Amino acid sequence: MTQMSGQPALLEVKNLRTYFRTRAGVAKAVDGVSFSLQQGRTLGIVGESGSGKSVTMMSIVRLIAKPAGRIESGEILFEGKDLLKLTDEEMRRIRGDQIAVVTQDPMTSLNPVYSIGNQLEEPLRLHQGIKTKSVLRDKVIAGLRRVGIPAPEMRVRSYPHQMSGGQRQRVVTAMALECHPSLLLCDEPTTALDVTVQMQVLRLLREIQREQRLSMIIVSHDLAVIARVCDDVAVMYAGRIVEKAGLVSLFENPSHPYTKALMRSLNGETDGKGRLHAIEGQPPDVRQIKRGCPFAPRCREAMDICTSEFPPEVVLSPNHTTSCWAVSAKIGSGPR
Amino acid sequence: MSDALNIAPPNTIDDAAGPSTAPLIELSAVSRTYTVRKAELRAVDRVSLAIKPGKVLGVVGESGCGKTTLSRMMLRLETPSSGVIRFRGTDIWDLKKEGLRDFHKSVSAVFQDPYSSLNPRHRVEQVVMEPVRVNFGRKATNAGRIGELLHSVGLPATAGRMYPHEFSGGQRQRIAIARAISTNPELILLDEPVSALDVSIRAQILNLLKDLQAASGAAFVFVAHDLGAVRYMSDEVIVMYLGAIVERAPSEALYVRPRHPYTKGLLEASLPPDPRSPNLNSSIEGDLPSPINPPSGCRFRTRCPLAAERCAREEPELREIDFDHRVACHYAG
Repeated sequence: MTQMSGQPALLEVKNLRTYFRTRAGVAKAVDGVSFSLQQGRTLGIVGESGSGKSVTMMSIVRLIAKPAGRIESGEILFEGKDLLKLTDEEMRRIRGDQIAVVTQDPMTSLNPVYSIGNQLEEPLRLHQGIKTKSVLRDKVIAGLRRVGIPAPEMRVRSYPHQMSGGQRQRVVTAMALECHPSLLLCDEPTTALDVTVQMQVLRLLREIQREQRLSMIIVSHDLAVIARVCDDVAVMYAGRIVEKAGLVSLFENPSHPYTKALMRSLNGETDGKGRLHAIEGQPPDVRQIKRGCPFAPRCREAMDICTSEFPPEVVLSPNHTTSCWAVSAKIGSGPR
Repeated sequence: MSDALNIAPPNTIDDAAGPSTAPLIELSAVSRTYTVRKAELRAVDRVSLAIKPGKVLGVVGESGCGKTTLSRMMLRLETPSSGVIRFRGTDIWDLKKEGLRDFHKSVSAVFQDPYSSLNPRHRVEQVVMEPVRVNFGRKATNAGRIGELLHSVGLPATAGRMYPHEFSGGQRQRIAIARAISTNPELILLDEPVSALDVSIRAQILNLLKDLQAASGAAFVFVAHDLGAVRYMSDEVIVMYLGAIVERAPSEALYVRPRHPYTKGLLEASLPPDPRSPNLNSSIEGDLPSPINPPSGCRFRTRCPLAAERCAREEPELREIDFDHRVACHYAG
């Protein structure tokens, strides 16, 4: 179960709203998202492009492109203090130290003109104030060894382009882990990698998470990735969390129609005529979200109320909630 | 399983079209090498295959396996360094005037990225009709035909007056598909047509492609790293690794009983996970070796669980292990 009684959450996001002002209107990228993460657990956030999953993650470290983007409201409590109330300088000290980020594309998140040794020294210099060259080098080599880079003594002198995609992903992971963060945020950590290498990187993340009792958030469009490393899952659609559950509970009892459709496509299920189950229509433009449930136009179970009011969260079990009128109607009329 | 395959009636590829049907496109020992800083990179290494009219060939492999170079050669966008590609029996590089025009009418493509493959300054109707205008003249590009094409890919006729940026990724890929079918081609090369799309959109596009394939009777070459999509689309599948075919089989046989250790590893990694006991063990370890200096003997041996001393010495030939099921491995059984 997620809620370990008495223990405060390491991270608690309450009613987060992050909007972007664009020429075509206000994009409500994240529109009232709440969740909490306990020490030592891994939360997966799954959703399609534009669902707000990456913006949610970047809001936690306050890396939202200004001036178009702004965190409008909400609270992000990390170890009890609200990150949104910190000054930029205070936030900078936390970022990369207590909260680290593994970005999606290791080709663009490493600087092509510095050796990887040089880049890996930077967080140690900035956050831990280490200045001695030999100490820095030793720490960097140890960090690379931990993420499974062969011959790290040689590799510190390599440049990003001399490494494969999987190795670069390991380097970025090593950089994130250097200052022993208590929270690691991973944005699509394996999307840029080939399938056989994906498994290796996921295994690395899970091993590190277990060894260090790290708390992690993994953002991905791929439920298969989430299923391999996460304890809990939040499903996002058009800026909202539509379903939240423990991993097994979500897979065995998906209840939101969108989650159910994702599950069918994960398993490549076909209908009676041998055609793949598809979700008809397009994901909504977050600049033009109408009232009601954003999934309603594509939903087979949609009712009248779905187009007028966003459904409240229904608790299905202590560890499983969803926001869907059809689900609450079923429960309301049931024996409970 | 193997018995069932052995006694099965002749494989569907030959069956439906009849074993006597001449291949639409045929590659004989086609290689493509590039020179990278004076070193030789063999992107495609002695690939032979044939596709019969109306059939779908899936091409699977990881980045750098040569699948895109292979499809570009079939499109005549890239010259083979050696080997011959024949379209209806004629070497595509011997085609002149009329023959070449006919080739361009008969072969089309859908690319991975629907953002960069559509001209942003052309209206959708221009984008879709470009191949028709070039091949049949402006008169052939009437409004009726545009509406018909847009309808067949599930877009409203009004879409013709709009520009690509007004559409989402999935809709753009529909526009690219409309363009690819506009000349009623006999062969369509689809290079990762759904991998840039959202999960919920992929199934829509795959269903559309399958319908269009059945309706038009065109042959498809479906290039992808996603094994699920390839299985759904293809009659026959080839698996490539570092430029060469390592396994080739009718689609179902490949998925039910993969023989090459690389194919097995790829399939394992793509199975839907069991959340109760997530399996992160893969039989394939390590990274792809450099294609500039590939391993001696079998190119997969550095990552192979079956590798033995013989594999470093001797390069395995593609041998028939079961009816129409070929594998390039000394030890696959």
